[in-house]
Amino acid sequence: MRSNRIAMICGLALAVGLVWAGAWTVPPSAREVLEAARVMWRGATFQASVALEVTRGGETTVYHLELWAEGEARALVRVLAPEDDAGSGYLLVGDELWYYAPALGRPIPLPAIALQEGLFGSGLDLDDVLRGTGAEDYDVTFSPDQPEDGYRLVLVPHPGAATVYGRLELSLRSDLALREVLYFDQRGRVVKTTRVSDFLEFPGRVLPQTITIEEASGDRTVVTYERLMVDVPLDPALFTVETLVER
Amino acid sequence: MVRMAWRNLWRHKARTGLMMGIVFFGSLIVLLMWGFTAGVFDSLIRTHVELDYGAVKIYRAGYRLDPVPTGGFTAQQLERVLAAAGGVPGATSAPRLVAYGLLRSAYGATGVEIRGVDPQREPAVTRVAEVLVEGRFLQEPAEALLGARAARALDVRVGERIVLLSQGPAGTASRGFRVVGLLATGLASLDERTVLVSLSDAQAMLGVDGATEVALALPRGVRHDPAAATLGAELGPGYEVLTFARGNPLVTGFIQGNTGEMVLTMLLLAFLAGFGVANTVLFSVIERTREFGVMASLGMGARRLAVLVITESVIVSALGFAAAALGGYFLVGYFAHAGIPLGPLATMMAEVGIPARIYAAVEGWHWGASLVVVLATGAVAAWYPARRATKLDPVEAIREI
Repeated sequence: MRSNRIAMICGLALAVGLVWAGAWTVPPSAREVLEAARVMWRGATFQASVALEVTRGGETTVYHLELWAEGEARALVRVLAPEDDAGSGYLLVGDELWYYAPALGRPIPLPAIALQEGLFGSGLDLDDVLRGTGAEDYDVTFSPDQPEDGYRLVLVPHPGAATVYGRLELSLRSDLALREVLYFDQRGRVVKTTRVSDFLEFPGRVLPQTITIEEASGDRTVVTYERLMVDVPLDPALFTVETLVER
Repeated sequence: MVRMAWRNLWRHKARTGLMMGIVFFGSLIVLLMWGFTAGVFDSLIRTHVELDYGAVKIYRAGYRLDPVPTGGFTAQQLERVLAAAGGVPGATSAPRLVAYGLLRSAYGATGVEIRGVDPQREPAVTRVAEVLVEGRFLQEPAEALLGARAARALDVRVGERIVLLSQGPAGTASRGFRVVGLLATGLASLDERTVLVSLSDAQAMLGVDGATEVALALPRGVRHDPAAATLGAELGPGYEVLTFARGNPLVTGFIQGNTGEMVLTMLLLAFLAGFGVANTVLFSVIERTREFGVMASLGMGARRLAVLVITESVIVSALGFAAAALGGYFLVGYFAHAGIPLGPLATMMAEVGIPARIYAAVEGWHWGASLVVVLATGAVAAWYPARRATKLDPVEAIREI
């Protein structure tokens, strides 16, 4: 449960950045579309208040989080609710992950693998698709049934790719905002769906506001950005263990 | 004296039969229990040695305290260890690179031991390539073998891709592998929590060029301890050479604990059977008061009378044991061949590496010890009745009845 949360929290940094601010002069290739969708969020800074509704085995818990992030490499998360977890937080700097809880009294380093562990089966593992290392592992093509108002991409992993999925289908709006990701297992069944239902329109950017992740097991995660500020100047000292403890 | 005791025994067939029966059943239970226990130990050790551990393992000193891939042998050290292992007559050896990580399928994840093995050398050390329930052994790069139980739990089929994650020297390392075969060893550690990949894949994934251990198989009949000692002396400090027993104090402790329990059970059964025998002998002595009186008046000394009573008891015990040994021989032989299914216990037993079907086994000292205990019990049980016989006054005794 906790590790799932770590992943989701850190995955937020990835999910929030799906933006598109340009236009092609010639029809792009499928990979170019994917690259453009990925490139846009790189280096972006943001600060957000997030509601995270996690349903596991029929039980639902709602977390309220405050999140600061700089690109994909640095993120600080503070848990505001529920009461049991309030005051705890996570810090991600590159491959280093720290956890702090008031009851512990000190920050503890978590192995970077905890990040990956949490991605299993649930949560925001968009990094499979969108993290730099992931995309090269896929063959990217346009789906035969292209929607009129956007793109539908099919990603098939290379044989040795570090992914458990057999195929991914990404649906993007014409402004490259992500609408939906379908995760297929290696037998052609959908095992997970990620859907963006509301969007926040910024000048030159479109960001997801509500992301729903549904798994074949019935487990569900709903991420809602209650407040979101992009390209805010963030103090570099924010992403330190000291801040994790003090804030 | 023995002849006289023998003759006496057959004058009271029912009583002798009863005593023999007590000894027979007690001994039979003990022998069967030994057969089962020895079978458990045998299976336990054999399963571990043949499927997992090998007869002897070599580690870099200190590795076991902090088992991380970078704490293993460098390429040069590995070469040296393999050369030394090659010098042991008849031995085969295989390097392994072990790391702990996560196995991920589309349906779940579990913590596993990632074991890089040399696809050519490993089958010469363990029988792991022979216990595949599906698919084949490792051949090409990026292939993995998975325990059948882990595969079922994570819903992975042969031909599908899994992802292994581990902590390499440069952060988290993850790789995709295609499952080419499923294992069923009967060892929970292997069937549920181990993934086999090729040594070169493991090295590439973990960013090391050596191995964390070298496993050795020894020919049948070669004792493991001296071989390990010779190898240890040759390699010198900086290396740790451990037999299965030394490397697995838990299993060794389990065996010692169980053997101790068995010895206690045997003594308890002997004690109970001893009371039965003592009771029968005592009544026989009371019944034969007149007979002893006559013998005493004919000049048979008290000591000889006592020896006679004890001899009778020992003979009966020996006969009972002989009958039990005969029955036990066939029964243990049958179970050694047919095996004893553990049923619902199997899952628990698999945790320590005991297969679901145990084949009874015979260990010489178990039977020897049982015989000694039975004969001693016969002698001790007859001691009180014998003493009673010595205290008889011949004149009084003859007058009885």
